[in-house]
Amino acid sequence: MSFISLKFAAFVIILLIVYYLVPKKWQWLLLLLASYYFYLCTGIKNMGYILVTTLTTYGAAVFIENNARVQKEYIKANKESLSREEKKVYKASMKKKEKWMLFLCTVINIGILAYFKYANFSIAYLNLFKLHVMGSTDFIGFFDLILPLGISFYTFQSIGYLVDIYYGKYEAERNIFKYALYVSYFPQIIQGPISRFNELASELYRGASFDIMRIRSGFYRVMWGLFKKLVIADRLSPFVQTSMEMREEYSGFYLILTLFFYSMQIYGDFSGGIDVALGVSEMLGIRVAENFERPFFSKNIAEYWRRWHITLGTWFRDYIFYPLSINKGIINLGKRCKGLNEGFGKRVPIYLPMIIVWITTGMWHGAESKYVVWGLLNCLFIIIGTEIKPGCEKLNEKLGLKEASLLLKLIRVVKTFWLMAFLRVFDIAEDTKAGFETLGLVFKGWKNFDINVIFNELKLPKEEFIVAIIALIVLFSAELLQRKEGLRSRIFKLPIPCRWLILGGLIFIVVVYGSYGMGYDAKQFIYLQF
Amino acid sequence: MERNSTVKRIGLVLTEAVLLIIFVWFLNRLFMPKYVSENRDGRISREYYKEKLDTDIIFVGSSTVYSGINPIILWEDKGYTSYDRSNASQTMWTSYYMIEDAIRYNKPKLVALDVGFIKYDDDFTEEPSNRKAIDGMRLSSSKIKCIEAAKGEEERLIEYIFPVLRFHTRWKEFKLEDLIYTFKDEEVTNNGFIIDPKRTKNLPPRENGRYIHGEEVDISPKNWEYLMKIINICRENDVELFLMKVPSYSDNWSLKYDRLIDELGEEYGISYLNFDELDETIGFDYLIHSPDEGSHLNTEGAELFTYYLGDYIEENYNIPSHRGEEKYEEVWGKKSRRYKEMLALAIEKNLEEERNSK
Repeated sequence: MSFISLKFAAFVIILLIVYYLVPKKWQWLLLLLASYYFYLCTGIKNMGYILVTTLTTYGAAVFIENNARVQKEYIKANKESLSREEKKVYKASMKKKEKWMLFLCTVINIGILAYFKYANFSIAYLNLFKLHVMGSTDFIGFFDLILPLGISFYTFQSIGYLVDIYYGKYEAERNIFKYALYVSYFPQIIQGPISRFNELASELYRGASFDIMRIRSGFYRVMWGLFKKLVIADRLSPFVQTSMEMREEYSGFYLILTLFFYSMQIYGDFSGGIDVALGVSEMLGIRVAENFERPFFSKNIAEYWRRWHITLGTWFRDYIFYPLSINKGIINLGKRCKGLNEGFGKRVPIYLPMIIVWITTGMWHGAESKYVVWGLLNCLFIIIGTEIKPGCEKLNEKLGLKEASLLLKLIRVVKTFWLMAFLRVFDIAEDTKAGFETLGLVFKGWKNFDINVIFNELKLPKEEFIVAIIALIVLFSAELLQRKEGLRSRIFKLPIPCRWLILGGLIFIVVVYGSYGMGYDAKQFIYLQF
Repeated sequence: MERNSTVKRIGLVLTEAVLLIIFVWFLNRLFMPKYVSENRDGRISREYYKEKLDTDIIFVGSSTVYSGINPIILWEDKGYTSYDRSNASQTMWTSYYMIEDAIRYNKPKLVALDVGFIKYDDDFTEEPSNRKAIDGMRLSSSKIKCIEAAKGEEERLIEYIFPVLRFHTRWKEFKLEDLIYTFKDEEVTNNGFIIDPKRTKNLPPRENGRYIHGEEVDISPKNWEYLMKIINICRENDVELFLMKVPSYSDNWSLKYDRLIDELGEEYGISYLNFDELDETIGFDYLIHSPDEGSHLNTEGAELFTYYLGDYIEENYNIPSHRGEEKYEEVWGKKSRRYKEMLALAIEKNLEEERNSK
């Protein structure tokens, strides 16, 4: 059941009616049933995987917590009789059990995810290895795999929970049904955000009273999400696809436009979907973590990644980067490198985990080498940015450019936008080689630009082009307005007729200018594939 | 104080709900094709509900009906009140729901069903035809069932209920007409009859006799099913049923269809007449009486056929003449005058087009 379907709209309306009719204490149970129904609509086979993840992480978390409790109680009971050394040995043996449980559960769940995402990727490389190294053409056959919906998201969310329980950040959820809701909560299962248990659980279980203002506010957000998805992303999609297919013929400025429009497409697609998810959640009285914070206004790539897919970034930071950067092996490696060069040695415990995180991020986005290259390039630009920062600051000082100056901010924003736009070429190119070739083509054929080619050949007719440009201006203006205060809180301060006009206008734009229905190839959300 | 605020809130929500309904209604009206300057058959279903007096006969079928049977002539000749509930490529299932809807809205005394479309397969569906036939129907269980029976694989029920979801892309082809007829509801048909005074330039040769099909054809299960449903609904509601094939020069027919329908008619005591066989009796010359190489009748041909059909109905069915009844004279007199004005304009327009084409 896609977010962009009338079936989903009917599902949400019916759920909202029933949700506010049942007593608060049972609302969470209704949400669980709704979430499982929603997930069941994606296919009964998929249910097995989400159940495995739910049961294993639930069981492991309870085991770890029980183990820690037993350990505490034992130490407390034998405080006097045990020597310090004995206590240490006992603690270590108990911690080992917890570690093993954490390891085992993580391996099972990451294993399922890896099987679906990387089995064929690994087979492809094994076959290449066989061909080029062993000279064998006895290739291994590929699996016929379809990624279960949202597997990356719910797996990461569940493992994050388990790691937090392991570190004793909060108590494990003892009610398996409540925990199942945390894993399967339907608005965020398709494409995130990846929520933390301590933030989401209380929201899910406390229940909510009917509040028309909240419903209205959530509805605004859903409509805004639909605007981004249907009016912008799906309108630009045929152009991006066609111009990439015809890039040899139409290079230069056409490709610049393609990269620009693709940036807008993926932002509209992903953040639009998140807006729908968060809007529906808001209508249910459930606050979910934000996943975007106007990323195109970032002044460098590191900042961009703190504002784009925020929950994934923080997940990687908390569960991969931080543990790696305090890993004894990496710290020791850094120390050894200090012997060679002081500066280099200092950077090793920071940059090495960063490289690992970016390779993982790339792999998360797709089981293809182009995503690894994409991840590494992101990392490279962040490292370069960090390294040249002092030099740049000196240069700006010499040029008389103040850090707070609008011009400097603008230059940085534009630079970051285009760097990211160029890096995204690996998203839409067939493979790494094609990605680099496309980047090369950007610099060719600038003289041949003719706007009619866009209208007639590249599947963005004049009227559609105009609508797309106006929609992008609306999006940009709205994001600019959000710098100081949320758009909706601004709208709610306006007189009632103005609010009606805005909402009416938004409905009109989405219904009329949205790309949907017969004659359109309904686009699934791009992030579904991740 | 608190009570006042609650009342105010409820009032606001209700106002919003009403505004939303009006807005959705407006969007649907604005984006629906208006079928005023072209494809006027798209107005037939909608205009039917303007009939406030008894409509004793309804003619149901495809485009041959709305181009070949003129209710105004039938009124002038016999004093009968009638309506062409037909559309281009109207299937048997759509016809059934048109009849069901008509029986509920304004129970007729006679349903005259053109069976010409019975030759098509079960999976026959054309979105433009479905749209033209169904969009004008009032929301009812008949409409919903009609949509389900007629829609193609890609069509969706919800897009019929909220047509803006289907026609939203029409913003690219918007004309002033779209805005005007969002609010204006002028009749453009004459009780479903579409004026077409054009004459055809030539007729295709009939190389294989009157009909090209022989015994190899058959009536498909869905067509049978809905024909039986039509028979049953008419019987259950004491509505007489007359099966006919409106005359056409086209040879896309088979005598086997005639035989099968005849047999069915005999079994249920229903008359069936293929008017193709009466070409000469009626006096058709398709070069004069057809606008499109004999596929349909033009206005002259329709006049000729309607006179004949009126006589046939008079002889075989007990339909009351409303001639002399004040309210009928008033309403139908207006319709007659309007028809004559429209006909004069159409003839003038046609002559101008012919002059321009020379």
